[in-house]
Amino acid sequence: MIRLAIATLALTFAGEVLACPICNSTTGLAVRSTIFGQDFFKTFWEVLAPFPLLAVSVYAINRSLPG
Amino acid sequence: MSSQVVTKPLTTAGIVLGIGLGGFVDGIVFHQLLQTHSMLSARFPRTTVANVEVNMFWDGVFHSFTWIVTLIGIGLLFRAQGVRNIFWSGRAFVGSLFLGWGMFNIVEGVIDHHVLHLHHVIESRGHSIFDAMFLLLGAVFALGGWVTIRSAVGIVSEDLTSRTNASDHGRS
Repeated sequence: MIRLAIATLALTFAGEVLACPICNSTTGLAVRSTIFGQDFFKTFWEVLAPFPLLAVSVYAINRSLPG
Repeated sequence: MSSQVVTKPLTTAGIVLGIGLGGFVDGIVFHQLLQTHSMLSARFPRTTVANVEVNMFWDGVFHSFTWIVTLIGIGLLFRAQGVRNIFWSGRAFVGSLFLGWGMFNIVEGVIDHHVLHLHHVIESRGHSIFDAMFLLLGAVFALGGWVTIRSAVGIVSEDLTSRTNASDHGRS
């Protein structure tokens, strides 16, 4: 029980908890630099790659649908 | 009722909505509830807080676009209600939702799991049978949706034919 309380306190007040992309912390800085590094646009297009193909698929299927 | 009754505006809206909602199902079930993978979990293993945050960011980018797709679907559905002679077939609409969901699974599965290797369904297992099952489920949804739409449109056509015949008999 005491261990759990200590762990909870440690996690609550640990600096590393501030880890969001806009957080001013060591981890936050690492997160930002990883996201907005050299590969940002490459990753951006890779993440969105399914959407243009889905749009083309909708167009093709729409043409072949009855009614 | 005119014989030029249409269902396509409804089914197109349904397919686009199905894609958007299918994307949300993937995100909610696999990324958030089960946490079996994240958007870039094959590249940034979720073993550090920073990597978890990076994955969360790209999850957000992906889901922003699934939200936009859903919004487009709602717009198409709204526009469909203004189309004259539209037949509001619940069966065709549900079929188109499943067709869209299946399309999402197939396209997202092929590109993200098999081509770009951004993530896998169960990341801890890497490229596994679960990736194939994801595609199979997509194919079943798409095929089921397609068959449902066709059967619903067939019912509409038969109904129209019988009504037209009945009115012709009534006139003669």
